Amino acid sequence: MITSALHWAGAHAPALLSLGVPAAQDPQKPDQHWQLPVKASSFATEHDQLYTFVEWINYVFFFGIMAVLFYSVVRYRRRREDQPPASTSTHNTAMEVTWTVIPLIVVMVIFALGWKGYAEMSLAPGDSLQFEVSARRWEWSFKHPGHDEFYTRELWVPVNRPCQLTMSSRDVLHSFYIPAFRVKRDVLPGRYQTLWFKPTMVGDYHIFCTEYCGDQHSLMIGTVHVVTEAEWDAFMSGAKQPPWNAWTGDAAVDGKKFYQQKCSSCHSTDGSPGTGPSFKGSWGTTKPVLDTATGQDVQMAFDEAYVRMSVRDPNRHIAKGDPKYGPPSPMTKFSTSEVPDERIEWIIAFLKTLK
Amino acid sequence: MTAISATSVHETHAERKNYLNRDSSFMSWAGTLDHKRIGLMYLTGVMFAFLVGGLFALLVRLHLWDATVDVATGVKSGGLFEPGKYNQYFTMHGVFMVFMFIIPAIPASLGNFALPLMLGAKDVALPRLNLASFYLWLAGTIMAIASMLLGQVDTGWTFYTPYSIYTQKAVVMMGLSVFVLGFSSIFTGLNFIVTTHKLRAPGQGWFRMPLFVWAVYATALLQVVATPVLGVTVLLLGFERLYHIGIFDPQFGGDPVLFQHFFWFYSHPAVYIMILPAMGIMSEVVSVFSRKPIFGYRLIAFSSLAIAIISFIVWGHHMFTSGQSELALFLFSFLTFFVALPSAIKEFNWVATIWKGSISLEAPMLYALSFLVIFAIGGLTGVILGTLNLDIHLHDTYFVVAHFHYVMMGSTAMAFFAGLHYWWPKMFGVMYSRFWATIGALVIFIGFNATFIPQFVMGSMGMPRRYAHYVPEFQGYHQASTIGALLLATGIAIMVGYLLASLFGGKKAEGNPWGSPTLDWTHTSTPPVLENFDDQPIVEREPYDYTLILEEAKQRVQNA
Ligand code: HEC
Ligand SMILES: [Cu+2]
Ligand SMILES: [Cu+2]
Repeated sequence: MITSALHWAGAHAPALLSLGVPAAQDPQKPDQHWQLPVKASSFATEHDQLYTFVEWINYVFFFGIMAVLFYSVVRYRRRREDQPPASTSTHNTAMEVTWTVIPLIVVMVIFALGWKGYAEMSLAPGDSLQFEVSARRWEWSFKHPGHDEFYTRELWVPVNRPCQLTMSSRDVLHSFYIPAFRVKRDVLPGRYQTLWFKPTMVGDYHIFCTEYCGDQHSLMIGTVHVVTEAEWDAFMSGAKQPPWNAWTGDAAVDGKKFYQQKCSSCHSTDGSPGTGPSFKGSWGTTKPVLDTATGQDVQMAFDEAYVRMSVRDPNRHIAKGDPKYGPPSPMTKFSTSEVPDERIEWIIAFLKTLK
Repeated sequence: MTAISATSVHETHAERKNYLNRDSSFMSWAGTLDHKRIGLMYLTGVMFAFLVGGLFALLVRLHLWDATVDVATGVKSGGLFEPGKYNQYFTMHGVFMVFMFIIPAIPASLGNFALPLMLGAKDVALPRLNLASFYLWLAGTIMAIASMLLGQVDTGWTFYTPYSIYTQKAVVMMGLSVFVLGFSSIFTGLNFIVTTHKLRAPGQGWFRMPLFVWAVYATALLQVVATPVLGVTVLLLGFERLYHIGIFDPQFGGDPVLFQHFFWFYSHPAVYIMILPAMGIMSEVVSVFSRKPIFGYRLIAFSSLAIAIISFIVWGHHMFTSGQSELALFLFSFLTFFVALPSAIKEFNWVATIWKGSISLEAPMLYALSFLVIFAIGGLTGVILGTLNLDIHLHDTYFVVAHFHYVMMGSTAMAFFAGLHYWWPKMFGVMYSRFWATIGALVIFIGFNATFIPQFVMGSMGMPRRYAHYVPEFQGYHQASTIGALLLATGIAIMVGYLLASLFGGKKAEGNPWGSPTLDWTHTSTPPVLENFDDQPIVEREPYDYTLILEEAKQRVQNA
């Protein structure tokens, strides 16, 4: 515990002492502010400038107030029990007006700059590349240009090209956040939200969900890969196989990969508990489930038909064993664009391999 | 004020039974209509809620010591709990601290105790309603504990839809608990408004009221006007969860963001329900321990009212990323900067009061000084968050968590502790250990900052809030924060320890140990008698006039 605290203090002391002036500069991360992530989009530069500006105004106010405060406490400390105050003035209009008007002007300037920065973020350039984002508990899925299937947890974008994301949620609220780009937008069910950015540095950056969405909110993370324009063009022309469409053709192998994208956040394959039942050894068994159409408990065989039905209409039959399973079932009702019919067959091929 | 000094009142009534020892039967407490006893019952209750909420905070921080996740594989490691448990614990932390501690803490405990004393009144205007609001608080708290034991509530204290509609039914019970707690708050507010209007002593015009009264009054207005919105919102949430009426649930044509509007329409003013009374305590303590009239009395009084009004039209700044129209964002950001101003003005006024005062560093003043430091940081980081494009990056990160802890825990709780130490001798007639009080205040101050400064930094680096597991690069900050939290807990334990110790064999308190000029100290015995005053006090001076106090001090020095 103590060693890591010391480690932390050691790593950050220079920055703490220099009050925001970065000590050594990493050539890979040009003038990165010590309190902020790397700058990897066109918004980041403007954002960080304004942040630094407000930060310094804050330092001036804070240390100014503290200086007066601590000087007074030391200088006017009561040393004798009957010591009267050095002054009994109860107001000073000129001073009170001053310390109302100056902060007023300062905050209005800050407001205007913040608004200016935001206004740029709110309108995407007309020539932006178009992506679709589908959020559900607990994964992000992305539809890349020229390909109409969603790929989960990883997004590829070209550097120096504006990209616009049209986002929607399949269940609860989520929020799409890329710290390195300084962009964030809530993703809502039943509504489209858009967000745009222009990446400026090749690399891999985190995607986080920042709206609490239940059990595995903190695991709803992903990666955005910023690739060079040449590589991107190769993906687009088909000269190179795009990573979001790289399948082997072996149903059980691809099924496993697809399963890990779409299903494993809730269904384990090793018997460990999760949001949904584990599939270890389920294939071919018969289990009691609640039929929500009739309200009766019925016996169901865990076979192809049952898996297909579960994916398309999870609420129809509710598994037993944990009140978390519902009704209503927390499982997403997958559409054919999220889980195409043939992918269910892949998953089935994979499930059959589980013992 | 009449010429009788505080000390002489104290001596005359030394043998008389006071409000504590006049009757000690159970029913004399459970059925009491005495505002002082109700205040003490509230005090016990909110301290209990504070300790429970604090325990959950510790669990959360200990879990976060090494709870990491690998981005590439999504495999998590370390941590004490499964995410589901973690989510319940931070929910409980929030619910207990917000609804059961911070909102009622100052008005219902210290306000109840001190308001009638400061106004020269025998009791609040509606004593029965006062007792009823305490029992509502108790019922609400029991319901919250029940919903915690019976089911799992994992929505966070904000209960955002549609998640709260799909999660377990225990959320309905929790919603009802918040509903009941809301009514407790409304009743207290109503009571204080009537009391302030009707029961001021002769001669006590509006501008002769101590500023604590002004602050509690402004708070009461907020409580009465804003809390019903919360009540309606949680009821609608309950109906939605049970009967799917289609208000918030998009599956039935509802709008989940509507819930956020309703919720913050209450909960933004609620931030001021928490901080305004704290500001009131600050005005009292800063003036008394500087022995100097408060600087800019009217500006402070009016800024309390200004805050109360403006706080109703800034709720949208909690929703900058939720997809509001550009016009709404423009207005909400603009107005947010306006609500920052009155708070800044107050900070300046307190510092100006201390400037050229006669500063005594007793425990209440130490907590008040902590407040001044912490509140400055809380306010200035609020300016960063109010700036539109900065908030886009910082929203729902630890930066926000740290910011509101600076305001809610750091400022409000610090002022609550200042007030508690200030009125403690009046409440119980005993004095706590000065030495331990100094140590306690210092440890709390250091522990608090050590907990939350790392959270500011990791937040601006992009660490999202409400994460049961985090990517490894944030671990150092989390560990620093956890160490801070342990220190903070130590400080609180010290404080609770010496306060409780003073009840058993603490030194007997003098009548007016701090040299306060207000009626609660000059015209009542310590502790006060049942109906506070023997004769109706008459106010003949300004609220912060220290001439008599200084004369007495001079006499004491001469006699010694
Ligand atoms: C958000 C979490 C979640 C995800 C993601 C999810 N499920 Fe489920 N699933 C559940 C829950 C909870 C249940 C139990 C309730 C029910 O029967 O609907 C369930 C039940 C099932 C059942 C019936 C199990 C039984 O034992 O009766 C099948 C089959 C199933 N899911 C398949 C899938 C497949 C295939 C995927 C991926 C395409 C998937 N699920 C993704 C949560 C999830
Ligand atoms: Cu999410
Ligand atoms: Cu989330």
